[in-house]
Amino acid sequence: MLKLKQAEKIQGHSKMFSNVDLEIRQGDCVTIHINADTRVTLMQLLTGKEELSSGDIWIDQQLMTKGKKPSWEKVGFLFLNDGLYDRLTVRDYIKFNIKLFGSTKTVEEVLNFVQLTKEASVKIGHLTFSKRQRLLFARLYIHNAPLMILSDPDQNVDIESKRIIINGLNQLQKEDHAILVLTSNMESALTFSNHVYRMDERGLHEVNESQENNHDEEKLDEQVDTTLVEFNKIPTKVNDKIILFDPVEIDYIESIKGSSYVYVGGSGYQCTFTLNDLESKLLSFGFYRCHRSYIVNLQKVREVITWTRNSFSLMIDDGEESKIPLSKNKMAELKDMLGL
Amino acid sequence: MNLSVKRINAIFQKDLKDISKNIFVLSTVLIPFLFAFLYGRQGDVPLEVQFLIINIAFTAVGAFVQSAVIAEEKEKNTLRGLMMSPATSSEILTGKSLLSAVLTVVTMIVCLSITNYVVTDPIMLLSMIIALIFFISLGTLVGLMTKSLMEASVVSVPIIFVFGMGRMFQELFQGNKLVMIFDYLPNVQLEMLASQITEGASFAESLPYLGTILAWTLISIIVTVIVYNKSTLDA
Repeated sequence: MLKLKQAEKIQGHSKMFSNVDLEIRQGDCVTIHINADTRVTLMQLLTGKEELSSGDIWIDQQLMTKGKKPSWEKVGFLFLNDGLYDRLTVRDYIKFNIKLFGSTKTVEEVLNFVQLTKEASVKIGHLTFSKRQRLLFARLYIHNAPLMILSDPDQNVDIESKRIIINGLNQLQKEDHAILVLTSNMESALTFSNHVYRMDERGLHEVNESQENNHDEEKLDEQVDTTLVEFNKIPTKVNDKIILFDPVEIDYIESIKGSSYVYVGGSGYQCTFTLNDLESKLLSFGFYRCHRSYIVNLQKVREVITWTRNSFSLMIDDGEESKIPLSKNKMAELKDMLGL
Repeated sequence: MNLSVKRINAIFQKDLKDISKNIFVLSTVLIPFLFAFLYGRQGDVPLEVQFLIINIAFTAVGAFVQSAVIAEEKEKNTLRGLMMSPATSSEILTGKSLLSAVLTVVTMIVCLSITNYVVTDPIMLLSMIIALIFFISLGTLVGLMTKSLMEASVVSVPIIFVFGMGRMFQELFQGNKLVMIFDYLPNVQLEMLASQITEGASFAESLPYLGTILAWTLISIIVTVIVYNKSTLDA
């Protein structure tokens, strides 16, 4: 459905991405972890508002060029800032879209899909942000295009809505739709699908477990000699300063492109240690490797969220309700540790 | 080009529900009513006043409501949603124009029944329909060129003055050469046509007026379509 061939985009003097080869077929659900600027540009490329510096984008046999809009029967979009008609009720809005798209779905079916049955007669203007987002998702469901492209569908939504969107996407994937989710949140990227890529100026990198592992091991060899003295503080670097954190202060640690970031009170600090290193150092402080790229301070975990039967996240009590992914196989282990 | 009546109807129904809850936009419908009541009580209403009411209905209802409806779609980021549906540009533009057209026709019928004016001449009727299309397309253009409902209403004010009450200004600035231009405005042409017809003008004599109105309409439709196609997907 969607194909990117050697795609490259240069904006001004900086390269946004290059060497991107990607193919999404029907029944695929792919997420790309991408920074916000690149995401906006990529969406513009996909809607024919911008042009690639080199390479091709194909949407269902149609080559995208600037000024050429894709066929809206083939592709549906969900934008972060899509609007709704505030004065209409939820039911009227759904009815309108069913007629507009010539859909065969019933209003009840759609209401059920995004679980807004109770809100059917509420004016859209009175809905919460999360429910509005679900209604936009309903629009995508009514559209029922073979290719669906979503831009940060879960940004700022509550947990219930996020679960509804994840389950909805799973259902759509089973119905043989091709789905592409662009998000700037790694946790979302990992919970939305098993096909996760990271896109940056050097290209598209598959985020899979073995790759992260190799990085870790390479780094481990380099650093064996430098960490002779054992001490309990975790050093991090901010510009030229070295800041030391007590393990109890740390909420969680994330590995991005082979380097680890220690999160304390919602902000991340780069750490020179590898994730494997940190794991062994922090094990005795109640830390746990909940994912190949994440170590969590179990003392700070507030909630274990189950999105679907095999997709989980941990909610951290850091005042920002950060969420980090929990691997399927680690879930069983964690349950044992908790004595469940 | 294949127009889907179903999609046009969907947009019309949606707008109807939406505008019935939008008091701000609906309030302008009162302006022509106000004029009709004021002048209607005096008994015999002169032709100039009849056309003052007609042109105010065209501008304050037709063009203004249309610009408000379009500008609001832009402001709330919903126009992009429409553009990204299988509905074609002509379906969207027709669907979005239908509501203000119906509203204008209804307002005009009510107003003219108050002031006792009946349009019987087929050429007069035809030119009024063409003028309606002109004002709707003018409203669409204002809606597309402005960014918000507020901005559209500000821009609409001079339009109501020039196209709605142009004749009054003409009298005010009599003697000024520039006022000559006013003669070629579609609203003034419409009024001139009406007075010619009441004086028993032939078809050939009324043709230039009809032609001028038609030219205005065609130009404004072409400009509107160009602006619409240019208006980017994520404004």
